[in-house]
Amino acid sequence: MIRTFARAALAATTLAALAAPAFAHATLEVQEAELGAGYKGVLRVPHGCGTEATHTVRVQIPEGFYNVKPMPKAGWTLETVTGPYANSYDNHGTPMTEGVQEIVWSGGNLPNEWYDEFVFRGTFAPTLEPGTFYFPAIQECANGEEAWVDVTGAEDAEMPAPSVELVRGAAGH
Amino acid sequence: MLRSPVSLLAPALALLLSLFAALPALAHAQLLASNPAANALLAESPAQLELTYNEPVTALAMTLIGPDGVSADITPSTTAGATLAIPLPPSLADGTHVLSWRVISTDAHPVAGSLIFSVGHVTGAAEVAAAPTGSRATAILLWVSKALLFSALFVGVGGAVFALFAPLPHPARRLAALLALIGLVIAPLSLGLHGADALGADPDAMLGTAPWSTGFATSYGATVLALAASLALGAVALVHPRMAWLGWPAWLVGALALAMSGHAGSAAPQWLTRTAVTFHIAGILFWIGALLPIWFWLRDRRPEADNALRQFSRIIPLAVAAILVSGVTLAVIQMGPPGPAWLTPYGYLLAGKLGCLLVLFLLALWNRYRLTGSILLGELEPRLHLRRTILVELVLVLAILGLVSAWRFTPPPRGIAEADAAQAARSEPAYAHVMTDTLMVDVTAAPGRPGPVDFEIWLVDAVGDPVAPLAVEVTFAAPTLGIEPFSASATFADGFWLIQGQTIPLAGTWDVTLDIRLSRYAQNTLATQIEILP
Repeated sequence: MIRTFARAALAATTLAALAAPAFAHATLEVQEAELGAGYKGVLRVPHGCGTEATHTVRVQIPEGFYNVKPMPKAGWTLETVTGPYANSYDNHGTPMTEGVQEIVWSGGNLPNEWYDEFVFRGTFAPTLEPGTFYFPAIQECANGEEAWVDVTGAEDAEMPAPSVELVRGAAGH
Repeated sequence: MLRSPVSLLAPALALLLSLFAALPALAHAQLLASNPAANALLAESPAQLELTYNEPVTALAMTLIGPDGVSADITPSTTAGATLAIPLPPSLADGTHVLSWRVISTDAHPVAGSLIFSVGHVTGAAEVAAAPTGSRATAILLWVSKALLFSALFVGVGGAVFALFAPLPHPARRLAALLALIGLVIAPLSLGLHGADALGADPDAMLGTAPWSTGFATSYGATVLALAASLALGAVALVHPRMAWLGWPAWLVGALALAMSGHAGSAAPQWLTRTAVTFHIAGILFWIGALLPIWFWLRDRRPEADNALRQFSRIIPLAVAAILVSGVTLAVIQMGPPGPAWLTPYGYLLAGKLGCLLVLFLLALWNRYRLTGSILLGELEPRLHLRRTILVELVLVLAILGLVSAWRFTPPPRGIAEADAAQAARSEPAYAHVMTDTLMVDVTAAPGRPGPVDFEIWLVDAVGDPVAPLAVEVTFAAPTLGIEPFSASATFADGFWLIQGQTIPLAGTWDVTLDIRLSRYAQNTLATQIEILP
């Protein structure tokens, strides 16, 4: 009897938890952004690889998010990989044809028991389509990795890539 | 610029969501280790299972699916913590078990998986009729008991059968009756031995009840009952000459008894094989049953002896015809078309039996056409010859009975061919094919049966060029069978991604999900289904 009740309570809790964003995944703090507007991405890393500490965090910058600048982090070495964009983007009158395509924070130590955030900013091109925009991210540990690279959008995805919903700017631009 | 109420709603929602998001970030539970380890092969049934997670969890549902496919709810009532100990029912059956587990971690997120382990040996689902390993002592005793039982039947009941056609000399009557009575003792013993042999148990297991009930449940149970009836009728017919007519039912029941079981009686078409066995045995009963009485009669010259010999000569062609026609029919059915299967123990035994038979027939022809005539004409020397050849015949008959008793231990070529076909069907692989706009994947599961399965994954892009992913992870699940997902990493070798010896515990439709890591940030997930046959 008590067990049945306990299970029902658990099930109810589960439902409530599912209604909110899944906290267990690596996610972006702000889940919505406007096309053509600047965006500050805060990547939240909730745990290590199993029980191992994370020493490197990598974020891929897909085409369409330009003028990217990562925020340095004490205790971590910051590197970027730059390359040409497929399209040219307008940065307040200056055309941008190349920029950051990957951000790497390495040499750090984020134990499984701790939580941390990794920050970068950039601009969403107005030419992008509204919808889900993914920033695939990878945590690297001594003996493994957690690859948040699933961009299928499947609800039960084990390792979904951090994402943000792009909407048309109400004000236009 | 005024904003519409709808456009105000979105930021409000975002604010609400970010409030939720401000709650402490918690992690999914992850299974770090298990005891026994995944896919472990254990010598003995474990008392409990241990699952160790990276954080405290509470067990929601634990289902143990046994080798027979029957599932049992073994959810522990109170277990919570980073390590779950799940008590198991005592002494699990040998074979492969699946623990399908579902736990909830502190983030209230249910996490599920499956743990596969085997006790004793790896099986698929419903026990693939595992041949009992067997006990040599039981096999030898069974062979001896059957050889003795056949001797008792053919000499004892055979004597009662011959008594229907000619008077028996006193010593032959006594010896035949004695053998029938010995047969009555051996018949049930051979039933117990048959059961012990079927169970793969040692002879001392016959002190218990299991071999007896098992033996009785087989077709040999009916055979033993009929044999006992035949022996009893024969014994009464021999002991009381006035009830000699009981030799008729003894003959009939004895011949039918051996048609009720054995390789020959179970071959198709059964109406033919069973009839053939019945006539075969009936003919042999007459022939062998006559040898001992005639041998005794020939010791001294008496009119009964000539009478017996005359009767035997009259009827034996019929009996031999029955034996030959039925024997050839059965041999053709059992041996199948000529081929390597003939060179098996069954074939060798048949060759040995035919060799003995050939000598036996030559002797019988000599007796019938050279000696019998002379004896009936009153010559003395042929009588001695005949007595000698009858002794040789009896020895040959015993040899034949010994040989045919050993047939119990050798499947006929027909059976071997069927077993080979079944084996070939069992090792037949199962296939699945998935295609997306960028990838084509072929999955081969060999064999496509429960048990250890080798998976071979062939990956090309949409135009058929090979792709070289960084990693391929395969997740198996069978929701319809109540089995939660479990994963394995494929390794690349010779152009294929391989998972070797992955235990697929049950037959049914399996969801196979391939996570293909094409590059550091690109992963393709393909899902397909593969049919595992029972």
